[in-house]
Amino acid sequence: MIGIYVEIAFVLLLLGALAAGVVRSWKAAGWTATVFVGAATVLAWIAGVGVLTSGRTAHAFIAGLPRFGSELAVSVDPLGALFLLIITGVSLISTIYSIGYMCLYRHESPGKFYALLQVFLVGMMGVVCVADWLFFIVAWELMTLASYFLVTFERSDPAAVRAGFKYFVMTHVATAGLLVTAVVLWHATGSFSFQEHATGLAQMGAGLRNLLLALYLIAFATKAGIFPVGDWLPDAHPAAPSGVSAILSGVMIKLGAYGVLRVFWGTLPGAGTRGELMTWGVIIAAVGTLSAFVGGVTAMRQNDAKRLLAFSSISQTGYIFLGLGIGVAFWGHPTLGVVALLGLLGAGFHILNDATYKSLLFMTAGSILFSTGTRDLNKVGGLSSVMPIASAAGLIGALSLAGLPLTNGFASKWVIYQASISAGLRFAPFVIAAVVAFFVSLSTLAYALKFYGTAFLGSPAKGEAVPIPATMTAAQAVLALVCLAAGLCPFWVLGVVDRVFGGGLGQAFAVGHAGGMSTIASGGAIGAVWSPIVLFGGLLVCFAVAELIRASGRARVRAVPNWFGGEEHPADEVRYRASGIYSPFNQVFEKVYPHVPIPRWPGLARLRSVLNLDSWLYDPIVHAGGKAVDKVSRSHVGIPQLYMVWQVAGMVVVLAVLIWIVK
Amino acid sequence: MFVTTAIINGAVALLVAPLFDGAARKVKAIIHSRKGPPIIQTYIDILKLLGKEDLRCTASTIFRFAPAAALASFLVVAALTPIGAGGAGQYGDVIAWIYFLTLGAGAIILMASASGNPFSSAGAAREIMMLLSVEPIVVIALITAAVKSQSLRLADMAGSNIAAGPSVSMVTAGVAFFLALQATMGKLPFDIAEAESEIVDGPLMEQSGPNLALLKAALLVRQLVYALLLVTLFCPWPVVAPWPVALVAALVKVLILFVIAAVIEAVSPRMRIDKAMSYMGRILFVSLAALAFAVIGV
Repeated sequence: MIGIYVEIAFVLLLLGALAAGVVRSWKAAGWTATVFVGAATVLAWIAGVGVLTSGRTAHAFIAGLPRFGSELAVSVDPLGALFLLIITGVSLISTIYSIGYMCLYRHESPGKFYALLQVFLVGMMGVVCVADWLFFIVAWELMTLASYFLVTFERSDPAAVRAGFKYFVMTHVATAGLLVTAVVLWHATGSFSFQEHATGLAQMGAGLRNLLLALYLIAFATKAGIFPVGDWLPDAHPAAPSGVSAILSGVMIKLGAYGVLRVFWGTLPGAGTRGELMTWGVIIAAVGTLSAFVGGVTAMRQNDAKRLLAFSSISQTGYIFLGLGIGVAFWGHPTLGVVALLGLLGAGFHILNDATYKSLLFMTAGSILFSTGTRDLNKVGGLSSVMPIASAAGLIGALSLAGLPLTNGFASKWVIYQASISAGLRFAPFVIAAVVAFFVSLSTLAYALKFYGTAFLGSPAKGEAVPIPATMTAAQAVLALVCLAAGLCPFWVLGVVDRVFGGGLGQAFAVGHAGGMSTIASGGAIGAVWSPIVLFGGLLVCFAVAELIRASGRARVRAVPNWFGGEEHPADEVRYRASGIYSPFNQVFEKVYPHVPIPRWPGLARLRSVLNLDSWLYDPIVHAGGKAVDKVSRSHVGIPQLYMVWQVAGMVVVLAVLIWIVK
Repeated sequence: MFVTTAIINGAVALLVAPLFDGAARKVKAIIHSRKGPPIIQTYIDILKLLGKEDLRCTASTIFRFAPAAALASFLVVAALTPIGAGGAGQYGDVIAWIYFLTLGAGAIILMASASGNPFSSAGAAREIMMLLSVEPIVVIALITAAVKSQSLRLADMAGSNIAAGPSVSMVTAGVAFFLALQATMGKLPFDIAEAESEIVDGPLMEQSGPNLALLKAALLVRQLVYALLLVTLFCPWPVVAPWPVALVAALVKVLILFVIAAVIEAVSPRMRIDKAMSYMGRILFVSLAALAFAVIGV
């Protein structure tokens, strides 16, 4: 029954793509898309919340392909429902943000953008709403193609086209692996359904099974932007329009984590041995830790606002994979089940949190670009006076990304630290993962403050900065409030995530006073405690005391100019530029991220021209249309005699037709 | 009980820290063959600053409120620290302890960026680089204690060390923590972020009057809590039971650490940041060795 809602949501989005496609003004197209995406979001949330509360899978059959053992059906289980909530929620906010933001792209077609955006959303929702590998791959492809066209939306920018192409090639090489696994398992079982493939995996030899698992992992890690296979990400995310970057980083790459959960948590425990689970868990955690480290230290070096955030996405996805790896390694373990649960809860919570603050920060970067016309952190400054609300939202986003206390980023990292230290008590390398994760969180603080400090604080940079539209501000404010709420009441959010993983939350955490969390030191988990509301109260009291002390001196206030050691300079001349920040540190880690150029190969060049819709679809149609109009216009040459000839000829034709009808 | 001890922890940190700083200044003066200021000089400095003119080089809200926020964060850290057996440890564990310190540091760094002064920005960048090279050592030492005690609660960690007696891993971790202490306290040879003679007090440069007083107090509280945690976790001996006595004993040990730090400060020149980073890199191995010992159970 609930599945019908999701079906209607899909239909609405496709209708919305058509509707937005025919609207000519950017504003009108934006609001049209918002209405359709909004309606679809409401339906998807009803379905998602329904599935999460009941714990039952919502199923709605659409069409069957019995010859292939495949069926197209909406099938939302709690895991899918959680992602459904994230996908639709963030996409709706990004669509609202785009209404104002897309004014930057006046010369492009609004219909194309909003149609693609909604098709992209259909693809992402499709990925989490099917239980059939054939249609999973179809939806996966739809998502990849739509996002490819969105990344290369600005066709006049050669960097965007190059970045999009790299994205296209890398994800398709990985998707090929997914296709191979689907076909091999179809051959073995005669079906494409998730369940049948799980049995297929269980029945086949260990060698082949692990080969297929490796293909799965490579495919999903590529999409998730895990280093080194996620090398497409730092190029593609900055190239896309900011509303789309927010969805790409906030939501789409999380679907890589969804895939890993689906296969390694949903399927593998029933199919593989304990040793296999442990091995794959350690591999996933190891690539996650590596990715977190490489992404973190590389982000510190970036001076392009969106590129910095793209590397931070690589890093934060690494945290998610670390949690997932711990979950996979110990899932179903007779004594360490709680540790596995902690890992999965941490990963799931971090997926939610990264979706909120990362999309918020990409929107913040978009606002910087909108206001000043550049993403270069060297050339901006002092924007908090131009956009005070967006600046406050950006600060909350930056603090959440850095994982400082009382934000949601802290709460999920807290769970992941606990999980990895607890896991480390049994298998020592996980302790190293915890140490690396901690170091990375400091580097996250470094680049989050670099991003925020250089763009919003200090004195204004040269050049004009325009205020941003209300839709953009509103979108950012909403996300910032979500970050704070989830940070102050993490236990409620964890309760939602817990429904996905079987409701073992009570074993891992004892809910204490005022929403506090603590782990019981049993079942192999290490004891810990975190009471955000109490500590927030304490912080407020201490702040009040500090302000009282401050006020007690009754000091006079006077405004003065900056002091540059006695010299006089215009503020812009002595600005401490973004490129100089952390340079001694960056020199140490300079070689960590290798630059991989796209290989030159004739086949790729041909593919590139095939992918250029303009060259074989739009341009021919426009040309043909133009020629037809030309032909018609030739008849209008402005000579009266010719018009009279046409009139006479027309009269003859009309008379002939009339006579033919009467007869 | 919790509220009282938490408040007392915070109040003690706020009120005692300037005294320890005064003692350290006296020690330095003796080494320099000077008479030195009276031991209560730091109190006088802070009180005097509270009444001085409040100069604002920017209208930024962050610039105005960051000093109070930094002091508040460090006071929360003090409340979380289990001095004796007190503190708010049942509401936050060692991860919260570290991150509230980072929150305060973040407030100071944001304030420096907000001032729009390049000296401050340079100081802020150095502060983060020092955090990045020093905090891992402290964290690994703390994780070592967590692994030994199988808990992330500070009270459990301290209690387990008392109950089990000294072990190879805890002693090694304590040594690593101690070697990093000079840098966590921001004293010579590691006062790179402030570096008066070089970048004119760095992050604090544009602050004056009451805000500067709060910042000075905040930095002193930070020095105190690092030292307090070091003695409570890694050197809880001699064990004295009743809570007020334990508090005094801990403070006496911290005073000794302050004196040692003052002696090092008096005889060291400032390190360049890259040298400091490679020095910390070496101490990191001591810390990692402690963790390895803890994992194999010694």
